[in-house]
Amino acid sequence: MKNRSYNKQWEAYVFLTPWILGLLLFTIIPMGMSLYFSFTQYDAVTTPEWIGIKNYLDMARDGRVIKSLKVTTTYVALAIPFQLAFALLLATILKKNHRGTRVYRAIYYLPSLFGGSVAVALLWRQIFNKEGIINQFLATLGIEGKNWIARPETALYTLIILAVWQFGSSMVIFLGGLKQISPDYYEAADIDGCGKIQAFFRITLPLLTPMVFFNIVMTVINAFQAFTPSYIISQGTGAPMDSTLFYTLYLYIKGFRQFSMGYASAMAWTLLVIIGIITAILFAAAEKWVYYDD
Amino acid sequence: MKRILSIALIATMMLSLMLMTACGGGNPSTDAPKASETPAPTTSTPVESSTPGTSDAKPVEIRVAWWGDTNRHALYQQILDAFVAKFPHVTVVPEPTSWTDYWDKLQVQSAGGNAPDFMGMHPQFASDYINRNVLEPLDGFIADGTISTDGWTETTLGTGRVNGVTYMMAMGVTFSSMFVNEGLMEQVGIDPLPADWTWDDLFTWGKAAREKLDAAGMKNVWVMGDDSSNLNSWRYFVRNRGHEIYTAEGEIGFTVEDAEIYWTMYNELRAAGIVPDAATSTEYFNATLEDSLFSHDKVLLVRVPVNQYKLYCTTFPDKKVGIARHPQAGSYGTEVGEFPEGAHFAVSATTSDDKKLAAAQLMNFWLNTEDGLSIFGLDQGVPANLNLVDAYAPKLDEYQVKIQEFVSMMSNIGTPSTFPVAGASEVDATFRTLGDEVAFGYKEPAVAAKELYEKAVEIVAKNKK
Repeated sequence: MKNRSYNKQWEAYVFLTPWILGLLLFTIIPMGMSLYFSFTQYDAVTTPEWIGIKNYLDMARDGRVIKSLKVTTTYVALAIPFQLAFALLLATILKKNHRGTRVYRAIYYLPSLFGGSVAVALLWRQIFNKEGIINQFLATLGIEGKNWIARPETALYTLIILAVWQFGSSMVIFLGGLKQISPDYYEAADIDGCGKIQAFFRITLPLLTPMVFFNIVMTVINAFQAFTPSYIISQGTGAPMDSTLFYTLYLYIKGFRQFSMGYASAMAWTLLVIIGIITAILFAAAEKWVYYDD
Repeated sequence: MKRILSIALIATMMLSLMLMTACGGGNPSTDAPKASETPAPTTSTPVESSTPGTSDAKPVEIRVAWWGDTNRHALYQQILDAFVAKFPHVTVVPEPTSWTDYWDKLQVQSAGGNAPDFMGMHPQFASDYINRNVLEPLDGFIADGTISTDGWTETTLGTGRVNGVTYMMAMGVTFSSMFVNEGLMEQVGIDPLPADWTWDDLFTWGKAAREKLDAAGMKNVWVMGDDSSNLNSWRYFVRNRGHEIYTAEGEIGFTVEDAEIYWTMYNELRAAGIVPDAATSTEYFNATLEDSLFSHDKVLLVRVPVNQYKLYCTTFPDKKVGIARHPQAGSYGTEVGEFPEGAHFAVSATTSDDKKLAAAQLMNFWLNTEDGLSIFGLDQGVPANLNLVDAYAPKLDEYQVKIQEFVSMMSNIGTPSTFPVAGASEVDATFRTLGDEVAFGYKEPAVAAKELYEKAVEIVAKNKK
């Protein structure tokens, strides 16, 4: 009996080999190397030179690291609440199987599919530049609009709107959650004279908290790693005036434009730690407000 | 459910982060190889060869990379086809890319030890690659005659030499110029640019032009593009004042005062409505040619390397485009700003000897034979080999003749410049960010100038190993 179970394990590992190899080659080893590089002065071409924690110390006094952290934090703090609220609102509307609901679900999911493409960057310019759609609309009200996408005070907010617009995947998860809630609850509440809004806050939202939590954690992690919107809309510079310089974009500039791969690795590991801490906090806080139905 | 959810969350987080740390994140690295995959390799079998002497050579495949637009890709493909016809043992894999992607990609390739065997190189970035032993010294190939230097001037050869070693050969000689939207000027009734104009003329003539534009109701049209964050314009200005951005010894050569005066001048130009407001300039920064301020008739003058004259004229057949010199020093200095510019070709140092040889042969074919030059023409400026003018001269169209005239004129005026040092791209990024901060009014020119100087000195020191 013992022998047989050993054999079974062995077979499992054989079948897992491709995956394990992939994990080692493309994940574990590169991660280990990047950790090592983060303690070196490494230009990605010549031999790395051990410099201890100098990269991490330099980061602390690098104005652009601090600026990029501010930009990223603002982005995360604003984009996520709006994105999730919007996703939940639409999921609630699209929950019922009316005529054409499926089409609408597909349409609303579309922005998430072509998220950070060059076409979207062009579209965003057409919407938010001096002669863009927004300003044309404002002009009909007699207001002269700004060049939203090219001014340091407003450029980041156009990226936040772009993120909110890509609410599709959160919406799908909310939809799945909403469908799991038994109609019995609503029926019972209705009999007890509960209104729609009350039912939403007393029944829907509490039962949906695991999905809300899942979406928060996922979007927070993704938003901290956001790269493409800024890369495309600012042409990889973080312009104007570093106002759209996401942390990952600066990491990319350091590693791939300025031959500072060691420094970029240190930045990547710092980001890992930051995201790890925030995720841990989210999990700790979840004990207080997430309701599991099991 | 809770447990599964937690595990799923952690796994997703770790996986996505690992991707981040492992590849440095993001689409460009996955986008990049596309360019190399699309074009079909140019091949020819040795058996078909009719060229004696090369038919029995061992087959070799080389990767050839350059930057540019689709027109250029088609043109260079013709050169490669002609080369393969002459050197049938060589198979060429073209790797064309856009300018920005080219440099991102080249660094990653260099890191992996697989830089293209034959590549476009630019003095702006050359130090970064030479210091890291990515570029093969070409003196051996020059000595054994694989690459000929007949018909090359010492000045042109010098643009590819660092510390006495030849690492690159100039694709051609070009100079920065101003393209003039003459059609628009005539339409509004603006006087032609004064001959041999200066920065001072830009103020006087520019203010008059501004008045004419305003009178015509063209509030959103400006006299000139804003070059306050433009590296080359800044370099011209520093040279106007008798300095260089980098000294021949590889130190910072500009002064705090140079930067302060430059940015103050641009603040004045912006206030006078001669150059656009900062937001407009930012919006059009790096815009494609078809989507540029010039394309939309929003500026009268734009700063462009003169070799792009034909591109502008053919892209905008409805516009009347003229060529003028960059503004000269005037009261801002005493020296000539212009220096011979141009892109170069280089050979990878990390490839095998037979590939290096084939790459050197391609370089010679491209730059030193009638077959190569008759196709290449003035795409990257006036070819360096002055003995072979006849190869392309009879084929030049009216636009190319103007390019050639301008380059010939400037060759007698321009003076050689120094080489950007390792770390130059970080200095450039700092210059651009500070230039933007001044343009948007977040920093005074004096403060930004001091910051630029201090950071530049620090960056250059850091990059000296």
